[in-house]
Amino acid sequence: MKLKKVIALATMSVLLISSLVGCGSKGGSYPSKNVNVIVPFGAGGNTDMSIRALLNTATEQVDDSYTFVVENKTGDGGLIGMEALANSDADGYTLGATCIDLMLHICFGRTEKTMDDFIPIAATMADPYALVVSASSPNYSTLEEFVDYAKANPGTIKVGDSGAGAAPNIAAKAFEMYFGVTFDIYTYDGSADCITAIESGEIDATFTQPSPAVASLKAGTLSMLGVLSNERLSGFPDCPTVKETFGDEYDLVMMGWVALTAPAGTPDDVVKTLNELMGKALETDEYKEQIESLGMEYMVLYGDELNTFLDEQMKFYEEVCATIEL
Amino acid sequence: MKKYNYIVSVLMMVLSGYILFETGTYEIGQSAQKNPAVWPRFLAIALIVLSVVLIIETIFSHDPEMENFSIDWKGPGMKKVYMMFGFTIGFVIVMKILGMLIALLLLIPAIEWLMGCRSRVMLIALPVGLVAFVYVFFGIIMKLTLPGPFWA
Amino acid sequence: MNVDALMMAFSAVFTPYNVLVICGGTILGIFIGAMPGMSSVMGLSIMLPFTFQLKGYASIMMLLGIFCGSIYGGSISATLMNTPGTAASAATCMDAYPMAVIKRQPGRALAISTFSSLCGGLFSCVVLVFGATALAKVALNFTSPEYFALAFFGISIITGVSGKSIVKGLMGGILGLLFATVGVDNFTGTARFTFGSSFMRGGLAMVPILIGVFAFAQALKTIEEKYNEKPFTEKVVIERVFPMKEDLKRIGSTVFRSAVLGTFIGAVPGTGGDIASWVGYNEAKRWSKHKEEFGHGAPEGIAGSEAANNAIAGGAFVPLLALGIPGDAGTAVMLGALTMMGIVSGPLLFVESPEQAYTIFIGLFVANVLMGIFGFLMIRIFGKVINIPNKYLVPVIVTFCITGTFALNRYLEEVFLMLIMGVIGYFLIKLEFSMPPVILGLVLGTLAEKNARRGLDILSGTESVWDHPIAIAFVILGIISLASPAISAMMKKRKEGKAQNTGA
Repeated sequence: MKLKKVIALATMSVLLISSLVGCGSKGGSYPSKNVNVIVPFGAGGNTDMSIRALLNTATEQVDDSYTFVVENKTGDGGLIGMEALANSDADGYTLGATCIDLMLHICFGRTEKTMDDFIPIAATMADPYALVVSASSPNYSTLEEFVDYAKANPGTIKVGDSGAGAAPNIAAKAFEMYFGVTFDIYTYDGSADCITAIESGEIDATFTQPSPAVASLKAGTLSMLGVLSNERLSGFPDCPTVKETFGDEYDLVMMGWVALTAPAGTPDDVVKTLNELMGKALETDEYKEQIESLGMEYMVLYGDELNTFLDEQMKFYEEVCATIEL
Repeated sequence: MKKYNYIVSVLMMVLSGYILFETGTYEIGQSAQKNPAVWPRFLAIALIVLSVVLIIETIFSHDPEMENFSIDWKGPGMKKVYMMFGFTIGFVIVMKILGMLIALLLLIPAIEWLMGCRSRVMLIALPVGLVAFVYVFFGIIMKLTLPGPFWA
Repeated sequence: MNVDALMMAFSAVFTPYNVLVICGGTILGIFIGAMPGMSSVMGLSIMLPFTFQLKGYASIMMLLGIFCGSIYGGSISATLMNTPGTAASAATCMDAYPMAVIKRQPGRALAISTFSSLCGGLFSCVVLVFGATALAKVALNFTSPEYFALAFFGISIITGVSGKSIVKGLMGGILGLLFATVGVDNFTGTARFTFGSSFMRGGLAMVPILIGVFAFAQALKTIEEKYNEKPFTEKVVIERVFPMKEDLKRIGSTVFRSAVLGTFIGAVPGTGGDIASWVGYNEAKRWSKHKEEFGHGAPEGIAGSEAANNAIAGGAFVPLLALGIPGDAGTAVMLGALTMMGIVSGPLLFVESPEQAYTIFIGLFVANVLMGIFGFLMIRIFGKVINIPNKYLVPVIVTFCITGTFALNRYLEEVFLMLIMGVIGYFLIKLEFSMPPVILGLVLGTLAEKNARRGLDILSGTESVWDHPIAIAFVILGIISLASPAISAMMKKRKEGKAQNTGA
């Protein structure tokens, strides 16, 4: 008998709570509750910091009725988080970061998702990869010398990457292909670890975006020999691009981009709201300051321009991946 | 204990056998870095060696503790543990359907009851209080989206 | 040392506003740490957006408070519930829980852990102030062979924490190492032991397994042994919040040893509190005169683990500030916060803006002191947990196991993993396996494997083993550490045999 009463009371409280919980999800215009943002890489990294910078700025543009909540879902080179994003409800309350690694996963057939499963909203960064070496190397101090040395001594320069098929690895492979050289490749957990390994003398060089290397570059223990982009970086105006050093046939351009995206199927008006909100945030001085202090290149890229940019990138990586052997 | 040691050894060897089998299907490159199988195989072989050592140790052991040790799988305490396994499975199923908060609201009094609590006040107050705390701390302060019921 | 800069840093930290913010951060950190599953990284990244709205140095002060507080907070749930609040306090469970719950001396256990945490933290701050650049240079000599050797040394502790059977301890360690191989191999992209599951491709996370085999397995054991338990007639009253003189005497040298070890391990990029606490615990046991008390509430055991894991805090800032390299996920978040504030850490920080570096040092120092103060103040409150009857405590622990595991990465699969590991752990404990070796294997597995494979390639190239004296030293230490429990057991037997002979 007692048990029955207990069950009855428990059921009542269950119903009460479920009605309370249910309340939050209904309501008027978008957004009416907190928006979750999946970041497929760890907190404190490049992708994470740039996304957080954008979201912080965007939050200040809106009233306090909602905020953006970052969830770091890591694993399998970012694939777990990005697949979780593609599979989440397309109601605008789950957004996520996608990045160059997603394209590479797609190109190498490691996921069944395609770019069509994501609607890009705003790019938070697009930094080129750069060749970074130890500043104390006796054998080379410029890009030409590096290439000459690599040609004369095949397989001796130790280059760090962050896993077969990840962007730094593709950059190294593309460099090998363009210049007909071979590197001795070692794998680490990420660009920050590659920088540590250059500092400790375990390896000689790596291809990385500038931000993880900023401290060492400024201190002069590491030096940046060449940038894989069309134009020089505003933060490192003395460092030449590969293209300007060796001519147009060495069209070695690799950008590592990060974009805030929504899963495919998100209603158009929601995407439009987000586009406007993020576009406004991108153009603030505050965002510019945060991005530059992270050692990244400031740029404004969202909406249709971002779509065109990503289409071009996809084409480029499909070509590169087809010619590279892992 | 002797019986259990033999069982454990055999299970470990079966596990090692599976590892050696699966690593045999990997594509292996020329350097250690390109060889995903080398480390698991090393561990599997070490596990086989340890299993053999455990068997030998058990055969030649005259430790009275080892000979007299037995596990009562049918004692009243164990029955409670089996019931707890049942509650856990039930919790997982309810959580999938009705969400985490409601599932917790049922699991907590179930454990209390299992542990001998018959006070109605505590059977209701503790789950309600605890779930309210979880909702406020994780759901509101930490801004976590707890798994909700299937319709939300 | 630049006196002007030091004065500037003092005035920057000791404003009422900043001190208040550190207080808030520290208290928040202690609670986050005490919740199973909530790690310091999580606390830091959740509070990160909020801290940007604070003015000036306040945001960094808040993060420092959370960082320090959460490492300490983990020891509270380890002591009272046998549930490590963070991975760094798994070793604390070994002796703090028996002392608090079986001996029913929660005040003594918490007092020892708080005191050791405080000493470890302060010691590492002092090292940071005076030796950051020198220590950073040593840490930078760590290449793959050294990392592997360090991991091997860590794994060698297994025989010391194996419980009754060394063979079963080693088996458990290998199981832990095997758990660590699950997932995609970063070097080749090969999926290992994933059985086609996309969740398993990401690998088995450590914290769910840790919570499973410690906390959930413990809950099952309590259900088996304490169902229908009569409520305690005698309530434990916390008689004191500071450690007794005798205890202080016993743990003094252990605290110092662990603080040194913890600071050093923290300074090596990529290694942190989870490793340091075990090393500190094992060394405490090795040098103790009361080895038989370990596992039953030895004060040195608590001190050895807690002083080491809190000393990580200062150590981890060495590579962060001196080189601009984050040593672990927690300091990676810190680095992000620093750069967003316009502080560029790295070798130039000490030259160009020493006042910023000193501000962080002093902030860390203050956070540690506050951690100690709040810790001692809260002992009376936390200690009451022990008077809660098991029939209420077990459901609370199970709830926190579930919600904490989920909070970690928001994967329901990890909750299931935790529950399954708890059941497996429960049966393994019944079969006289001990769980610490499994955890050690899991913690060190990835570090050991990656650096072994990379190191082999490097050594098969131009370098020889003899270029790595630090690695050789660690391997020798590891072999001694592996063999020593067996040797000391043999020596004991021989002694007993001799005693019998002479007696007869």
